[in-house]
Amino acid sequence: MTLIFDSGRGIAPSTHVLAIGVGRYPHLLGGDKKLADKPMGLGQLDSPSVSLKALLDWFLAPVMLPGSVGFTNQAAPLGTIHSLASAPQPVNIDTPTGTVTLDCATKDNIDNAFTSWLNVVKGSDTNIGVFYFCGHGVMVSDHYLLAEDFGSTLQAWTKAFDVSSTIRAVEREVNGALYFFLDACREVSRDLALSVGANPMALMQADLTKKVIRKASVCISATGEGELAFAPPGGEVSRFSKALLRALSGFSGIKSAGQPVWEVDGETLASAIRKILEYEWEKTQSQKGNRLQVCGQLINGSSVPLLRLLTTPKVAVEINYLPEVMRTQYELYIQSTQAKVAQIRENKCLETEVPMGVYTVGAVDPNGVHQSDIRPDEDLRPPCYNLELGGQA
Amino acid sequence: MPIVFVHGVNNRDGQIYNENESSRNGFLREIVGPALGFSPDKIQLFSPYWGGQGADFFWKMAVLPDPDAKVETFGVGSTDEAYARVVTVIADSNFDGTISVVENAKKDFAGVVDALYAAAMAGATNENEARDLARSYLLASEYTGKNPSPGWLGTAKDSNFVDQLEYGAKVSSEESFGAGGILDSLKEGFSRLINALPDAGSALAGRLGRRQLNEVVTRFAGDAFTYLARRGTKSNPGEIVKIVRDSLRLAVAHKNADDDKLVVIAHSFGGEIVYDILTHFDAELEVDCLVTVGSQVGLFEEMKLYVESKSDVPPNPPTEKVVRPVKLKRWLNVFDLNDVLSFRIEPVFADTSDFAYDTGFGSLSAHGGYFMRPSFYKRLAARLSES
Repeated sequence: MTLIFDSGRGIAPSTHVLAIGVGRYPHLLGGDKKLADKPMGLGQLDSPSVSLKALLDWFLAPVMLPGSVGFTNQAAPLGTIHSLASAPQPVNIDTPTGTVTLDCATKDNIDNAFTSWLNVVKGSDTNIGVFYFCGHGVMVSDHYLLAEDFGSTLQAWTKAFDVSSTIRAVEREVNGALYFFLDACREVSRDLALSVGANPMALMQADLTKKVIRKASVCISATGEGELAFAPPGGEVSRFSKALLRALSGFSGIKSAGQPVWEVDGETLASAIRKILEYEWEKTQSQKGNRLQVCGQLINGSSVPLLRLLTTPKVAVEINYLPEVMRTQYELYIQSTQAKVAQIRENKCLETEVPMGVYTVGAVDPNGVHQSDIRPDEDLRPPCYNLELGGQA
Repeated sequence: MPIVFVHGVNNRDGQIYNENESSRNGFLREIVGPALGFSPDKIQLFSPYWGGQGADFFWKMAVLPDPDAKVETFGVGSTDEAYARVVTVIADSNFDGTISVVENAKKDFAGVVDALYAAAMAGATNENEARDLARSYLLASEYTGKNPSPGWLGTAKDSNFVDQLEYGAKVSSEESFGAGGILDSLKEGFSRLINALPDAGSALAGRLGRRQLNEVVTRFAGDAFTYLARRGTKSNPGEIVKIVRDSLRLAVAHKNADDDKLVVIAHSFGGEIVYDILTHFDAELEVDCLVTVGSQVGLFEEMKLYVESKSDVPPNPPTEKVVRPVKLKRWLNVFDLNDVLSFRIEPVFADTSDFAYDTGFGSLSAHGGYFMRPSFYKRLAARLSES
């Protein structure tokens, strides 16, 4: 099934989602069918179907259980979700009408799902279209994404698509706002670059005689040009999708003037994702030696929020004291006019989540022996705040 | 841990020298360093360049017979140097130039993988690329050890050999939605192998090798004569001695409580220079381990050509030996039977160890081949890690 959710809002302003996750590539390395002539070192992936499911669950959560954390936008509520997934096992999604099994993400199915999605996004000038892809990607001049059946024919690249040109085409078809989230590598492939006649086509051709009509266009890529995107091993949500979901789940937003609403537009979201990626990498790279992954973004047009939150965005806080041998001598705390979070004499960082706002952050010795380090008026903004008090390590 | 690399003869500043240094440093950091218990990023590498003080040929070696001027236009484009080095890498090896690289791999998988990384190393333009290759090589080497004939090799093609090797050997803490830049480096190396394999067994390679051997021998003689004539005295050392000695002293100054070992690797004539320094020019300089590679240190002592050489020390050669330099704690010497310019030291110096290493090269190429082979670093690391 491709259309897994339809709110029945028709042409009323809505948000329409097309989400694709490709982890099973039968013709790439480790696949169960004839290996593509030039597999470009690409193999099977565990993360895309898991990442996709996490994203779909987030979108559907408020529909399934009102009040839960998930997609929130009163101006453009969730309209439809089209989705495809390729994984070793069928991918099942719980929806308001029951559990559905996603169709596989072959190129033909992607073409059909894209056409259907584009039609509904074009239905209203105030619609928001969301396009999400998680799977293999490469680039030369443009960014190319690989469908499940990549390599099934001698013309391997007919089973991939040019998402860069696709975006240019969609921008000429849709009056509303567009959000593209591309969780794929953007590495320049030598094999592709040295192949003549291999460039994949866009999902629709961009007619350059048409004007760009979209109100807003946001494309956030998981990684920079020429770089890789990563996921933890063993089938976990990818780094980018995890950061995206965290940013969407209350760790981004700017207060709308005069209203109890916090808006998350493309720039706010891109900034939050990048900071979360860097924050998470700094926390883990020393143990794993993992490479830094920083997202790329291309934002055009007006500011059209994807989310309109009704609660104050949160900030993930980490406060450390250096040198670490002295941590057990101190109380580490964060305090606002309403509340205080503290940890006393523990040999670890103070980690907590607080609503965005102005705080006093400090380290004090309860016995008054060691010198205090207090920072008043710290402006904590989403998604994260990281401070080292004291001296040098 | 400071490591000082003292180059041998036939090194002149330029693209080849710089690329060789990048490749060598990358492999020393990633393979030799960890074997000694040091983080690759924390190893301090010193590479004194004394080639500029070596022999100067006023007619630019015009006296050398040129068997075929066409050798100089070996291929076209910017890959010439790397390509020519790959021909050198596989010339006179066990590879069969009449069959494909993949067919060669079916006969000697580990050998082809080693040559593949050597070919990739030849094109490494910076140390980071070499370090990536070194890390990848360790995985590939482990993989070939466990899988001398993997199932996929039976149906592999030139277009996907590297893909399948890299995929099989990959051990990553994370899943990546792409192949990683190392694949392209390896594919470039593989491309060079494919192109060079037929040439490596041809008369063209012989002519190239002859040319290279001529140059090595000529420059060896030139550098050796220049050094011996101008090495100076303890109070007024020559330029070559000063360059190498000062680098050794700088490395000593960089030792600290956590990082208190000094390793010196000397290739070819670099061994003679270091020996002269440790016995005469700065006999107080403390070195934890000296590794001489493809060196003639023993031969020069046989000829009594060092400043401190004495014809009556030891009194009864060959039953007696010269004592190891007082401040040198350990001395390993690596030689290749195919390398006509490498010699043993055990028969001449007491408390030293000789190790044979087969570069896989013929006599034309072996002298410069040690540091082109990834497996050399692995073997060197194993020797150094032995207590």
